Amino acid sequence: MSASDDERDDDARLKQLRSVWVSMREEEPSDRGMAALMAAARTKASELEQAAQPSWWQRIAASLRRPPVLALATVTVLLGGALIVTQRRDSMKSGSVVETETSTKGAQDNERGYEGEHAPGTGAASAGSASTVDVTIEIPTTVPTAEPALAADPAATENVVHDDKQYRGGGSKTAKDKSTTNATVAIKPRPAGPTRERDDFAPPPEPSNADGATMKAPVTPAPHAGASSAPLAIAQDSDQAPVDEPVGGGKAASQPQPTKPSPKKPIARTPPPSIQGEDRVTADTAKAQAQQTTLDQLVKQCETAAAKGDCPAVRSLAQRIFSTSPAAYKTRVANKPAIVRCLPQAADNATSAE
Amino acid sequence: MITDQADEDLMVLYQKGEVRAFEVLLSRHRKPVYNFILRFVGDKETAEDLLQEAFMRVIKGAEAYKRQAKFTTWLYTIARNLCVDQTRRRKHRKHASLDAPMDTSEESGTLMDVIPGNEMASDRKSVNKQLHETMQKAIAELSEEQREVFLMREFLDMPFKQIADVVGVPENTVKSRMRYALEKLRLELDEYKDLAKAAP
Repeated sequence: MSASDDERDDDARLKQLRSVWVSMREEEPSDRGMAALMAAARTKASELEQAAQPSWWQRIAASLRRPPVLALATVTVLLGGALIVTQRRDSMKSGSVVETETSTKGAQDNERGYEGEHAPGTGAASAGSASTVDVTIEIPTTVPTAEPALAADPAATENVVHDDKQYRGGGSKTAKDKSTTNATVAIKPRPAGPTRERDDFAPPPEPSNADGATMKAPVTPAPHAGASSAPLAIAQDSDQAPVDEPVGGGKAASQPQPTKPSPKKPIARTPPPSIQGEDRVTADTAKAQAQQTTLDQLVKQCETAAAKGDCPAVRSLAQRIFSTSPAAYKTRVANKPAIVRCLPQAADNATSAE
Repeated sequence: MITDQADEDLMVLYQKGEVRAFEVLLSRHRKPVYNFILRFVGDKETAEDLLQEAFMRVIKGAEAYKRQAKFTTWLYTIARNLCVDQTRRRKHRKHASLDAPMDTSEESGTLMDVIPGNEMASDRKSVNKQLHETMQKAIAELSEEQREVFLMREFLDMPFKQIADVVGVPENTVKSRMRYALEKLRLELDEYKDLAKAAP
């Protein structure tokens, strides 16, 4: 009896009586009917066992929880995800190529218009002893919209700097860049890698004299720039990284400034992975376009210089045209008497090339 | 070990098809249930039949058993209901025959034998026997409600709460019935108080 149970009559007489029935012996039941009972129990147990078995969907759910099935499901999900990402990237790439082509065409049109406007300025600049070289740097950046802006403005000649910040902020440095040398440099972006340095730039075709001497791009004040604007030296490789060096305007214009090597600054440029592939395509297209543009510009400048009788400039430009495209030299330069007059050596080159 | 598990766990095992669990339950409760039935109905053969029937009902109702219920409560409810049904079926036999044997065993005598005469019993064995048989008679003369409460309380050591669950009445009612049962037994056995004192 539990101790918590109250109401127990503790009367002495009842205790005596209780001792009577406590001492009453317990009967042992016979085994009669036990066999039948156990048989019924077994039958029922088998029924219960069948009922306790999981249904088909429970078995399927249980089998789906097994490790091999889970692994297969994981692989399927990963492959599916990769497929979707790849398809998305392809669609984005094709869309950006179309966009780049459109923007490059626009840039070309703008460029021609600009040259028409500023031709007299160029002539005035070339009246000096230094020859004029247009350098247009097209930098495919991570911001795709900035690229056409640079290409569209031929005046946006790049003051080549090493700060990635200035790379990206192409629009903001336009005023400063107007005073710099025009050169067309197509820069191929490095497809992979977390950082990019200045030596990513593809060196532009170097004009050389007939004797093979490399011609450094002479610095002339841009036609539309003020007299105090700083000249720019364009590095042809990574060791000759140019820096901005303001010097006296008139003097500087007359003679080219030596380039100063500057310490390499690593440019932390991490294009998003989705844009890297399309950057390459864009850069290739832009490079071809830029080459054509450069050729056109060189031919025009050459013609202008020839008309003004600036034979050294004509020779230099003709040399560059020849090194860029011998075919164009033959068709657009060598058959113009005004130019050929100034180019005895170039004419020889043309003859030998033939 | 399956034999160490609680009744409720064994019943859950049996629900899953484990026959061994039922065997353990049967071996654990067969004797107390049998004695409860026997003291309730007072007949061995009937008690064995009712015992078998009680466990058969456990087998049949195994699916409906819920783990939250106490197994003994469920089992004794079944046994008690069977006993009540049996008692009601035999209501016409309100009084046991004085000549009928009280027990099926060979040494059991009739009620006439145990009704005390004027002379004192000579040995302790006969005193005990007389006391037990008188006790059996007194229990049998209790009302049905009082008897079941008394048996569960005094022979099965059930708490009042569980008895109330088995019988299906409030706990206070169970206590009241118990009090009346004890009072009646005291009156019945009053004349044998000297024998009770002599009992071991």
